[in-house]
Amino acid sequence: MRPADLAPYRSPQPFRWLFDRLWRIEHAFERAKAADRAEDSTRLRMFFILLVFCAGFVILGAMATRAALFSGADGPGATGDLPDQRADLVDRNGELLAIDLPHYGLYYDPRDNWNADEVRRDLAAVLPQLSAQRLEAALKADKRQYLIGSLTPAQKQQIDDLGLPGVTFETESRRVYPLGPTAAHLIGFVDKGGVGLAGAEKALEGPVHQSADGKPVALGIDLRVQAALQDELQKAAGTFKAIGGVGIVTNVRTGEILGMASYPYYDPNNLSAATPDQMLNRVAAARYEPGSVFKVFTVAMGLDSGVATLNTKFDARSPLMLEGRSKAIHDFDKGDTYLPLWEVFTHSSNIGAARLGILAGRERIDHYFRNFGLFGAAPSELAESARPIVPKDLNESTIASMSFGQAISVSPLALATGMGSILNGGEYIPLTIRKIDQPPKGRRVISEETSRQMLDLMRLNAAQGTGRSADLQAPGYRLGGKTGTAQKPVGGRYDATKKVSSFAGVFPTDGPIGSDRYFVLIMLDEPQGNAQTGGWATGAMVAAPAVGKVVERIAPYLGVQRAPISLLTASKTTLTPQQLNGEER
Amino acid sequence: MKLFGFLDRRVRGVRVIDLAGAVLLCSLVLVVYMAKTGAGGTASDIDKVQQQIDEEHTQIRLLQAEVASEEQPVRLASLSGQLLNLQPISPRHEIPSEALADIAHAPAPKPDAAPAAAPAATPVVAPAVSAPAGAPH
Repeated sequence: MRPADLAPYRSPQPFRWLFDRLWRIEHAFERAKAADRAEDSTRLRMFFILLVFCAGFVILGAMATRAALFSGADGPGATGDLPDQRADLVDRNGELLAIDLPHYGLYYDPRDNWNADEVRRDLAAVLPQLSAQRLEAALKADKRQYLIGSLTPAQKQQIDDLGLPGVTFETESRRVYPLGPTAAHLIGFVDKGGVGLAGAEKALEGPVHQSADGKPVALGIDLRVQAALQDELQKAAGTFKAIGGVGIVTNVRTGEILGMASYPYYDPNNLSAATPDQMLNRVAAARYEPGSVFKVFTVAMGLDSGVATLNTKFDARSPLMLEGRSKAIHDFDKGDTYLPLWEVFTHSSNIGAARLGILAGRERIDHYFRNFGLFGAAPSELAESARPIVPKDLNESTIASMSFGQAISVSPLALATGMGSILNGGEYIPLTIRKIDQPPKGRRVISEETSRQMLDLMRLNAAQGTGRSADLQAPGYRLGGKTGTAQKPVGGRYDATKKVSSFAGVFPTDGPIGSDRYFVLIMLDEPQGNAQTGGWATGAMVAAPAVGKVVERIAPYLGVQRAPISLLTASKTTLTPQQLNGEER
Repeated sequence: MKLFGFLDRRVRGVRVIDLAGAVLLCSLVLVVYMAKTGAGGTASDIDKVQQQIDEEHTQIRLLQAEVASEEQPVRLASLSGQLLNLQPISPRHEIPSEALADIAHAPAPKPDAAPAAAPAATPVVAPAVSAPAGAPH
């Protein structure tokens, strides 16, 4: 019986062949021994060993040739991709926002250099930012020490030119933001290890790493829109000495954020110089009582629920005193009249809005405001998205206050998301910082008819109501909007000297309900009135003109055509209250 | 056995098989040496080219970052205003191309006519909202 016969049943053919050959060789030795020809046996064994060695050498030679020919491209001199590299961030048009660039870490090994004075003198001259303490420690150490990181290629070359023994470099990656403060709060920043800590860098940590094969990650912002928004917000905040400011531009159809600004700004390339106040993304992480811009939600709720029509009149003759309130609800304008709902909106009547809220009742308010996303954090990729502060109990007093934007604090991001659902045909679509091809299917919160009415109402307000100062800055762009001026709560009481002034605008207000439409919000924290505004710092005075200027600048980038303006006459509104009420349309 | 017989023959006292083994070994060493040397040279060339590509790639990315910084809209707007005194045109000077014919046929304004009403684009707050008596929200 041969070993091949003992091989496991159905063993592979090569094994059977190999066992057979081995058996034959071994049997040849035995046959030679049996025939008393021991020298043949020895010769055969030597020949066999020679074959084994030859085979070994051939294999070694083949492997050496393979190693020589097909390896070494990644040798010590190569500078391939750096570990943990992040993909570039670009805007919706491919403009660069964030990029990983190779920098260098500087190391020193004192065992390779006996002239410490030379190292101390030369390195200090080339790198003034190098800590003298750290350098001294490295000079006295007994092993290789890290001195400083994030050196640019030019700095590395300078140090290389010194020719100091013991000085070596290691390539390291560093995130660079070429635009500096532009869109800094939206883009965010990373730590030294390349981990996202804020903004899109944190929100898109996964996609940024998965796309590290060279394909950039596109954000939804348009750099031109962002620049205009940031510029106008800074001008407005500077002019009115605001302690903070917020600006956001969104496409209400798709939910894309086209621009986001939080004042004051900071440079993410120099985080050590930025204060926590500068680094706070006020759009997502701060919460404000929004004031009268909130009436957009109240009126939309009233119209959509059928509680009121545009012509339903509300008693605004005298201040509204409610049980449980220490102060009556006042209007800025002297009332003495009944106001139809559209005038409650265009006159920004607190009394009218409060009466509408009370008329709608707790259940409707809760249902609609919850659907508008006002009772929760804005659903967003941004981890900074803050939860709102809402009243614990929705009683008559808190409902009245909420109806005109008091007693509830929401983030501007949540406000913009909710406004979008009213202005886009009635679907709640979470805002996204990413560029998207297909808008997601939204959740219906109001009817298309109500959405159309709200667009017309906001247009009327900008043309003839409290938002005229915005429309005057952007003639022909069919801008609509709502002003808001909220007193800030300080120590449990509202401080009349500290305000949050805002304007929520939308353009163009005409066209099919499902067409592209843009929402612009500017909010200034504690603006101070000046001589130009007669000392007033209301939303109409400080925020509305800024929104108008933003619209005037960004509309061409967004493909919004200006309606023809007469060369001989001033621009006129295209909508009258009568048209709004359906009397002329 | 003819083959083994030939291999067992001696040439100047050295067996043929030993000579053949020595020649084979020398050939192997030579071939491996030449292959290794040639491959080493090729690998070095590839390494240099790869390094050059990487350096140029790095340079390109550096330049991209610089271009992004230099061409950012805020900077361009600021420079165009400061150096070239460029400003956005008034909306009253904008007109769609199809309306050009209407302008050509429009009567010229009389020289002594009162100036047209202030265009809506005038960048000041309109009086209607500047009166603080009933300041809007």
